[in-house]
Amino acid sequence: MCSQSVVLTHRLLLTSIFFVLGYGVVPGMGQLEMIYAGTLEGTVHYLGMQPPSNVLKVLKDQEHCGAEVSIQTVQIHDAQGALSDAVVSVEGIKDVGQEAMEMERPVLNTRCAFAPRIGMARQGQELEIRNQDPILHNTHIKHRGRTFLNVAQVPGGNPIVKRLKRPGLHTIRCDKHVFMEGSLHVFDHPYYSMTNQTGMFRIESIPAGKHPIRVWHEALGILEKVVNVPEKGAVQVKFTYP
Amino acid sequence: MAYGERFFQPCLKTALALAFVLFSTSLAGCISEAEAIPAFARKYEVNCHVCHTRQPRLNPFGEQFLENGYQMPGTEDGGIVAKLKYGDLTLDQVSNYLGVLFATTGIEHTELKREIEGSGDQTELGSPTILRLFTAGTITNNVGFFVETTTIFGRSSELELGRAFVTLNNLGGMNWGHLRVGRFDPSAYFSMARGRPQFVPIGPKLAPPFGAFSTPTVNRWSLTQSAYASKFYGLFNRSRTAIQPYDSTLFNSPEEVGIDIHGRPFGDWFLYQVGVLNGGNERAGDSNNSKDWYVMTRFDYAQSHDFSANLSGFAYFGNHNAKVSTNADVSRSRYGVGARMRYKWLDIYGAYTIDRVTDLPSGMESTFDSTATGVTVEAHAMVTDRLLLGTRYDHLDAGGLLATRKSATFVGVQAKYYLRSNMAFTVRDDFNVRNVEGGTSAARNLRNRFSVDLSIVF
Amino acid sequence: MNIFMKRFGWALLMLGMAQPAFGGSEMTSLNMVEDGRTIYERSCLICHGASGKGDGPAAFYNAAFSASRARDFTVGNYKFRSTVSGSLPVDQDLFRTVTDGIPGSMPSFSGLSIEQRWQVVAYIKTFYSGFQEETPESISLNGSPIPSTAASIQRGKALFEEMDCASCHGKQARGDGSVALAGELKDSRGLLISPNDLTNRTGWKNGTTVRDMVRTLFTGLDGTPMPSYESQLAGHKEDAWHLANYILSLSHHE
Repeated sequence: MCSQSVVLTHRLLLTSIFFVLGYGVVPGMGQLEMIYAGTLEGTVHYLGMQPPSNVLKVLKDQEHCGAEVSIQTVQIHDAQGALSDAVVSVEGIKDVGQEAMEMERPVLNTRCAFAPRIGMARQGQELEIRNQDPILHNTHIKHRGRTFLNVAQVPGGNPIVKRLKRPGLHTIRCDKHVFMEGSLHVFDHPYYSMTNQTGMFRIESIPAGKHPIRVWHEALGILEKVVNVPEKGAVQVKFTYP
Repeated sequence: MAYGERFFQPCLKTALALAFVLFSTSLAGCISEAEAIPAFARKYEVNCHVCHTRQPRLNPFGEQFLENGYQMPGTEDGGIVAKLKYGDLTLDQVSNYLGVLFATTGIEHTELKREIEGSGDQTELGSPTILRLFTAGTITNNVGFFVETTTIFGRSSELELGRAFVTLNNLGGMNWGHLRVGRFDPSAYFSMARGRPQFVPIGPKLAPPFGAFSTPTVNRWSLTQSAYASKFYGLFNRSRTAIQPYDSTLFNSPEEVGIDIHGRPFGDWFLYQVGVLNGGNERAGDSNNSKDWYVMTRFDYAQSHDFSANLSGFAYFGNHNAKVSTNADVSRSRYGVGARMRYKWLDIYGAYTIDRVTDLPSGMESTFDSTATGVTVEAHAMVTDRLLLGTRYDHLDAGGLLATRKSATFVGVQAKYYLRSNMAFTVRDDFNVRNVEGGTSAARNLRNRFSVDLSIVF
Repeated sequence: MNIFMKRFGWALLMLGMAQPAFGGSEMTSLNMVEDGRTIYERSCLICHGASGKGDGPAAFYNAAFSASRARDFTVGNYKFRSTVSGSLPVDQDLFRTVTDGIPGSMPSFSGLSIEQRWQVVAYIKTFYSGFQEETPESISLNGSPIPSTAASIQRGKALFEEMDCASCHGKQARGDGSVALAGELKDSRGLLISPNDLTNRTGWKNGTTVRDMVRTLFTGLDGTPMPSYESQLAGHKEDAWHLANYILSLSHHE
């Protein structure tokens, strides 16, 4: 987020210079809107009962993966129902034309799971996949039914790098270990975040105006709200499942 | 108590029958008297379901492959694609032209009314056992052939020649006209092709004598498709043997000698077929110099997801193709409609036909009903990946000699268990809906038939 | 509409021929697509469907309970490629499949003339917009076949174990690995899919030569669980050929 702000400031500076030089009129309002940008802050809570963990038998590589795995997709962290791992994004927003930065974290195959289980990335970023387990994994990523990547990695095998070309939800599976699941959200703009263990999220430098805000959760589904982002300062928003 | 007993007995019988069906179907699997040509699957290196829903039923791809004279739809591949060749011969690919069907009736139990002398309940094992050999394919681009021979062990045990014809395809342009010459089944492209029912026609059991103009006693009615049956009592073919009312004839004959042409010149939605036959159920030669001819049109709706349907109609004009007992020639004609619908594993098809006899000798009009109709509807569905359940309804509104004619109505149920795609076990029961009606007619004498069959194509 | 388009295409082609300097090749390609459409509707539609979704009236029967059903051309998922995992196939890949067919599932359409096959390839590509946006490239197969010596086969066998091929294909490579037997392998349509029996070459879908095998190892089969081993085999130039030699040695073929 920090690096994105730097870029934005840089662009603001450029825009100002163009504006001062008299070019600012030509690109029109799109450029001007960006001068005013607010922050979106909020929380995501889940008020229902936590579903029981999904316990699956491991049929392959039990010596490393264990006899069974327990998967809890709804991670609640306090009595109020603070929900982590919910992906929050601003919808319908134009790409500000920033260059995508390098991805902060690669997708790891570690202890028979994908880490992070829920990932976020910017279109144009390079996705890196590594296998840290002493067994073979295959990372099978699909986007809208089309295979984005299906690669095998032996223990200590070469990391695999591929540029993310299209925005949208990418599902991640390992066909050899069917209990290994994950997803990667690829956005064509920088306005996205994920809730932490307090259920909170924060998205900075959003162009002012009314924007639909969308919350995605792996098990609980999608919530949407239209939020008026101010020209300066922060706006608070609260999402609650179900 | 008495009521309880009466209720209990049929109930127990049904339960036992059901248990037997379930037991048999769980044992193994197999096919019926299929008309699948495994040679084609071998030649094109594909599985059976590329052309069949379940043998012998065709899926839309199989129908177009058949129409195109055993060539891939829209091509003139000649079936010699990507194969090793020695000159013009494909010597090492004989198996690509040969197919074998083996079917045996494990148990057959027939319940008869005993109203005909000498008839009674019968249980037979291993009869009939059928071995059918096919050789079929394409010789070169747009030239195909088909020859089949059948041996039925336990009956005549003779080698019988079935269909044998040559195809010349795509005359005048792709899919414009496909010609067949020889002995072929005229209704091959009809909505309900005579040779492709899941309910295999069951032959009759006759008692002698079989003299000229004598009608043999039918102990057991033959379970053929009523829509395709001859329908008339008291008709004879030109060699003076009786044409039984259940015999498949005319447009829906298993094989007739002649020439026909079919095609889809306007695209996939419409098919035409026109043909000329010697007629008269004659195996060779033509004692009747006038010909029978027919026309069939078919409309297809087959573009949408998992669904296809078609509707067809035909008219068959006979010309002195039968005789009555006075040795006078009569003409039999048939008009019919048929339809088929497939949705995933549900397959429903049926036909309704009207038969007419014309040119009756004067004086016979009052003793001979010259109009008869027949209807057949079959429905099938795969209920698991191996089990096919089906039912058939047959009604024959008979014509012919008023003194002897009897209509017939039969319902069949069938469970087919596929051990593999080319092997199936069939458990089948057909019962006579009119069995409470009295009389010695064969149409009443057969009350119920139960069988377990096994069939293999390879 | 169809006839109109065709005539329109012809008219454009004539125009293109009359004035070759003005984009003659584009006109030809329009005509090529239209001709391809005619062939597609005759030969391919029955399985692949009018809109290319793999939902033609006969598609269901070919793979009602398990893979592989007719390809959905609108998604851009292609099994038989010479390109990296996740890429579209090059035209030659599509042409190869049309020509050779796929054992078990799709007949060979070599009954179409070479020109007609290229036309149908051009039409198939119109179902997915990605073909206009992406330029797929065939990958290098790391050299050429190496003799199938005992040492090569031995090395291939070690790689077979190292790459954990047995998980799916089984220790004896008969397509009976533990993951396969557990029924956990599904294709992109969610249909149960069986790994190939590597001891029986007649069922291999992506070709039976050592070169075909290396290509399959490198590209994987998109839309199926078979992953690409390219990056794992990339470091050691000849390993892919050793592994392919071993796999081919499991089946006897004249």
